[in-house]
Amino acid sequence: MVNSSVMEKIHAIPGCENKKAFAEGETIQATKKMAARPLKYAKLGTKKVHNLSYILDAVGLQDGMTISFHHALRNGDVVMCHIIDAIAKKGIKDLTLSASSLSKVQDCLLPYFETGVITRIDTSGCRSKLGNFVQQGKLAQPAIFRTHGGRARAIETGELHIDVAFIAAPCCDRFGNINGVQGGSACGSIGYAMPDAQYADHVVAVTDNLMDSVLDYVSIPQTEVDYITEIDSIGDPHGITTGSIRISNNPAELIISQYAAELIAATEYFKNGMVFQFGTGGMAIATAGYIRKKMLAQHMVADAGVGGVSEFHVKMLNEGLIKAFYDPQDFDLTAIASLRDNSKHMEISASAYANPFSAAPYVNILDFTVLSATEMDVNFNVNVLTDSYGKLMGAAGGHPDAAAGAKMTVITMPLLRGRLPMLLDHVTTVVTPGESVDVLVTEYGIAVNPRRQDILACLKGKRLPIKSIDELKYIADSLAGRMTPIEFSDTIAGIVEYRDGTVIDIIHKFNI
Amino acid sequence: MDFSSKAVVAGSDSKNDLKITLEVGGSGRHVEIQSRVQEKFGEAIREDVITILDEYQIKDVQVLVEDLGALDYAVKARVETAVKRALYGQKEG
Amino acid sequence: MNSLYRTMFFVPGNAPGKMTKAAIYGADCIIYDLEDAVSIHEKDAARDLVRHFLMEHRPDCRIGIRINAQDTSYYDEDVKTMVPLKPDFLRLPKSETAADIKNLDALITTYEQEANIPTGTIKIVATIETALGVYNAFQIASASKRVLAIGLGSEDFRVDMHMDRTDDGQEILFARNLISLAAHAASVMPIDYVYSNFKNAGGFTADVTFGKMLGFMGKSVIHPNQIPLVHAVYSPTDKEIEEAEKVMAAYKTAMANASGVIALDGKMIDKPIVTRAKVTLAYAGETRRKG
Repeated sequence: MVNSSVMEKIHAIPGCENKKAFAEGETIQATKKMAARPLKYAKLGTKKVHNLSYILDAVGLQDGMTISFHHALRNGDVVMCHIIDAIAKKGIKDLTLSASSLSKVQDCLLPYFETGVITRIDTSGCRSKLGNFVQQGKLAQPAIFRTHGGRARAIETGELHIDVAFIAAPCCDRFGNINGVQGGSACGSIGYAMPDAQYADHVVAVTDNLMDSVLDYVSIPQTEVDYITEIDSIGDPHGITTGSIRISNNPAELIISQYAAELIAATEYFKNGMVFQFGTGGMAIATAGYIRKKMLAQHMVADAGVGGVSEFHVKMLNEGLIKAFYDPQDFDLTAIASLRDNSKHMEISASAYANPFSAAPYVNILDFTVLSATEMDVNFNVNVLTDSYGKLMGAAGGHPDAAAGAKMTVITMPLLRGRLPMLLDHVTTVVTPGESVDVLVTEYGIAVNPRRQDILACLKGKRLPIKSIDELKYIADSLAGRMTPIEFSDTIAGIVEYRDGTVIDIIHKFNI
Repeated sequence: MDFSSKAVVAGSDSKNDLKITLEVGGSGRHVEIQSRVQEKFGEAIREDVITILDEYQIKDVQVLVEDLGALDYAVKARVETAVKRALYGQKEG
Repeated sequence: MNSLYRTMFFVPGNAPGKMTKAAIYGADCIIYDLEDAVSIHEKDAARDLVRHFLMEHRPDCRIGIRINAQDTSYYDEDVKTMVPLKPDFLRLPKSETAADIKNLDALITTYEQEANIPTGTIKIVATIETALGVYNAFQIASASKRVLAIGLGSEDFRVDMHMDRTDDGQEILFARNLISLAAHAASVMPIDYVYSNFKNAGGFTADVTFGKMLGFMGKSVIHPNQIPLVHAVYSPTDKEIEEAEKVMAAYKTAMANASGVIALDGKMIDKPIVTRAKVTLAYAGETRRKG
């Protein structure tokens, strides 16, 4: 967490003067009105399709502005580099890059960071060379890390003002309608781009699949899109979609997944009509697999799934085990096709998914969510952003949002990774606060947050290896042995925001 | 570190194991540790090595530890194997 | 029989990664292997590793050590270094005659005395891997009070018998039958052989089920994923548990009445049925406790 001396330093950063520190409990207060959306007008017959240079001039892009991109193209994205390269060639600099997340593929942006074309960022996560650059403190001011819900909130309250949103569009018609489900660079749901499309001053669609006739599937409507530009390719399909995510065959991970499924099945949240979320990754899919078997055995049907979708979720949807899916992101071709063709598989914006400032985001209807972690501590705080050395390697994503919304949050995590214990006295970076985390499942046993005596009561006599969090920590420590504490620099390289905009932790500067 | 042909080796370069190269002789104890978890466990590894050297009362020795995330018990075991091989030779059984 | 040995999980004695993790899979018994899993150049290293491991992280379950065969130069040092660690048993490969067992018994006694361990504490599990061994199974099983169990080592047995391996294991059927019979005749446990094709889950479960039908009381396993499959086969059904509870209730009534005759539903129940009921409830209790 953050203390007053850290907050003092944060208040000295331009634009961060009013940031508050995270506080436990239901402290979210929606007191303002939403930010004003730009009023747009286009004369009848206005041509939207232009070359990029024209558009950059037309939107009046200048030094110091904020540009945004979505990350639905994941590791296949080429749009960010293409656009920023064109911007750099115009001599524009000192921009703020607001990306819903940044992956290894955005390492291509490094030269633009080094030459000052981009001097500030806000994102859900960054890694690799960009991550190193940020962590060396080389930006004009610390990077801001937001959750998916938090970013949507920041946009909709006006805290994050976007001058120009560049929306990578797998399919776009000449009127400006966009979808992510058609075309060679299809990526599925473009929920992460929706808040940008609604609130940015100027919205530019960037497509490699321009259609002459109006689309029959619209994710972002023409009413929000000002300009369209065509490029050869918006992304590499092999990086956009993964192959099928295989169920983990690591025996220890299977143990964790089995325990997680047994645990869930023992609680009141496993019932007909439940709403759930399973993350992606081998262990999450394995857990989903065990839950699926129990659902089949007990003739159970879930009302809905919420969150990112891959082949396994679609299988359950098509089997009738899930009635509907609310989807902000798709990971493979099966998921994309399902979104396109199945009316019960619905695309939702990042805001609808996770923004706490609404009549209720979809994470609020979750009975349970199964998430992962890079680290956890004895107060059930979770880190998904940095590794055990404090190095940026992950993303906050929707983790804190789902954890806050779900009635039961289950974290699956190995107790040790190699020699490194993952259960600590204090996580290196707090991203999801312990108050919203209910159960930790490791290969050495299960610990229930003492705040949840109700869950503990359900598990009595259920032949599960229930331990206290301190017992698990003791096991971790006995195996790992004596650890030398790491000293972190006091200099702030990044600010980690909770979904309501309060500061929950910082990223420390270090030399890589 | 400079090892002659009299140096002995124990352990392996498998995940979660470590390799010890050890040569008795020279002057004083020289222990070099290369570990993928150096920052967090370098000291603990060193302590393990010293514990075994003390047990066998080895005063003059060169030890190179190439660690891939081994736990304390494995460090001690491998060092002990290396020490015994150096002192008694590696015989069948 | 005091506790369950549904699964005997073999773990290489020279692989720290595997040793550390072995306890999480819930096997009733872990056997640290100094024999086939360890190269001849690393026999010393394996002893050191197993020793340090057991001193620092001994798991709660039953512990066995598979030592090297009697005709190797490693045998004596194995017994000498492992006895002081007080494993539940030493597993002797290539057990062929009663004399082999008596030899090991005497050697264990020597080292138990040196380590001030009460004589007889450490048991013996004999792996039978040759034609002669199978032929002598009863003699081996009854050679010493230390013998806890006997098991079949199918690979070497097939070689000795000039047999080809078949998918359904027909060729080792007789050996399995004989070992189960001999074990029960000597009042020790028969442990079923290692089914090494661990990717074939269906075939494995069928094999375990067949073995249970033949009277085996547990299975040697080499992969963690096999463990829950074995436990599922050895778990009694609810009906079997109910029956066993009825038998035990009748038994307790008879003891209280000192009538000497145990009656259930108008029928007389004799000792073997009571013993069987105890075993069933032991399996059931274990299943409930550990799963």
